[in-house]
Parts: sequence; C-alpha cells; structure tokens
Amino acid sequence: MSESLQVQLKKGVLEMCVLALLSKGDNYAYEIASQMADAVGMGEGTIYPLMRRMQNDDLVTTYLQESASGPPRKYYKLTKAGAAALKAQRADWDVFEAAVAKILGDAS
Amino acid sequence: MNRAMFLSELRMGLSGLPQNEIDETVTDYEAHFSEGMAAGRSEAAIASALGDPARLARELRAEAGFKRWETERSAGSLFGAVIALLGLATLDLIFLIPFVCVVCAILLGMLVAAIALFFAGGVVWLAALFPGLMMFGTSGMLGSGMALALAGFGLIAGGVGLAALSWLLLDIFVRGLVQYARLHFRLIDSAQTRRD
Repeated sequence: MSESLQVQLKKGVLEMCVLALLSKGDNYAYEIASQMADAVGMGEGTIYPLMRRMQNDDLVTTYLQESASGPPRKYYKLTKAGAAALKAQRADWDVFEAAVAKILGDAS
Repeated sequence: MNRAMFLSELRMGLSGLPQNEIDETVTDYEAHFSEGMAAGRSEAAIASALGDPARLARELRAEAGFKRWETERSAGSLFGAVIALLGLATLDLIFLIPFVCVVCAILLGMLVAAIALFFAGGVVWLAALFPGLMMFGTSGMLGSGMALALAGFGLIAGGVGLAALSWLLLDIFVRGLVQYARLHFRLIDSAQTRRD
C-alpha cells in the first residue's frame, strides 16, 4: 500500500478506533496508545492531541484511579455522545467498506 | 533524546498557553514515560515512538486555539485560531491560502459596506431631525421628515443586518477551516516519524 493512501486511511478511522477501544471498557492513554500503535502503526504521541480533542468534543470524560504500580492513572470513559458517534461512524464505515470490497471483488 | 529533553522541548513549544493546560499536558507525557519504563522500554525508545515534541506542541496549541474560538467568539480568539493554523503550516494548508485570501476579501468588503450603510443611515436620520443641516435639495425632494427618518432607520437596520451576516459567514468559514486542519494534521506527525 502506498504511504500516502495509508496515512489518509488512518486519519479517517483513528477516532473511530479509539471510540471502539473505549466501548469495550475504560482505559488509560498509555494502553490506548500502545494498542493503536501495534494495530495501525500510528505514532504514540499522536494519541494525546486526539484524546484532548475528543474530550473537548465531549466524546470522552476522564477520572483518576489508583494503580498497583506508581501514581494514579487517568482513565478515559466513553460518554453518551461518544457512544452515539461510534455508532454513526461505524455505520458509515460499514457502508464504505462494503462498497470498496464489492469494487475490488469485481476487479479481481 | 531522553525523557528530560523531550519534556523540556514540549514545555517550551507549549509556552503561551494557560499554565494549567501546559502542566496537564506535560503530566500526560510524563505518565507515558513512567508507564513505558515500567514496561521495560528505554527513555530513548519511548521518546522516538512519541515523535517530535515540537510538532506535538504545535498540534496541541492549534487544538487549544480552535477550542477558544469555539467557546468564545472574539477578535482575540480569532487571531489565536489563525496563528494556530499558520503554526501548523502543512503543505495542505498552504494550498488553501489563495482561497482564504479571497474569502477574507469578500468578508472585509461586506463589513465595510455594512459600516457605510450604518453611517449613511445616521446621516439621513440627522437630516430628518435637523432639516436645516441639509446641504442640498429640499425636504420636498426626499419626502417628508417622517419618510427620511424611516429611510434612515432602514439603512441602519440594513447595515446591522449585513454586519451580522458577515459575522455568521466568518464563523462558518473558520469552523470549516478548523475541520479541514484537524483532518490534515492529525497523523502527519506519525507518518513522518516513521519515514526516517
């Protein structure tokens, strides 16, 4: 896959992926960053501007929770608006993915 | 680059933002280093996976600038948002500059027209209130004092309406730009880090 196409694709789905991760349970930024970095190869530092924006948009809220090792961790939790955004983006994604799969299938 | 260098570069890049926002952000990255080191990674490895701190700082500043514009519409916050956009200065945004100039010129024109209408209305009002001030013509030419007052009122209302319309368009325009910028700057950083 060409690099620019990869970057464009990732941009579009990054927020949706983070929302999906959080829909499975509250999580802290380091864990979100490493899961996203492993899965889609995004820079780990990128997660913090993204989390901040999602917090500004009221898609997530934060709370502190004691951790077994070291200082308390800041956990992110999906809000109602965040869950709704995930649902909407997922629907868009499914439609898009099906359309692309159909065209690719026709071409092969 | 080690932990201390990364954090001090980040802090430097964020200067100008409210102190509590800087502290909060730096704390986030400090925690990231602690977690990474607890997982057995070296400071250098964590820093390189995070990316360029100066670039991250620009993104965070831009985000803060956009947020201010969204919560508080003022000349100051508009200036901040524009500076933040310029700070990103990615190629995608440079392509937009001619378009931005045209839109700004149109909005400025509308604003000037609105101010002119407003003052013209004021002058017509004055003419209605003090017929003696009229330099030319007679009240017969332009109608009675009452008609003049109404016309003046209409012009002032038109000016206010036009000013409101240009403010509304400016808001839509800046929001659009912010959307576009968000879509474009978010992952540029990671793509470039990974290229080296």
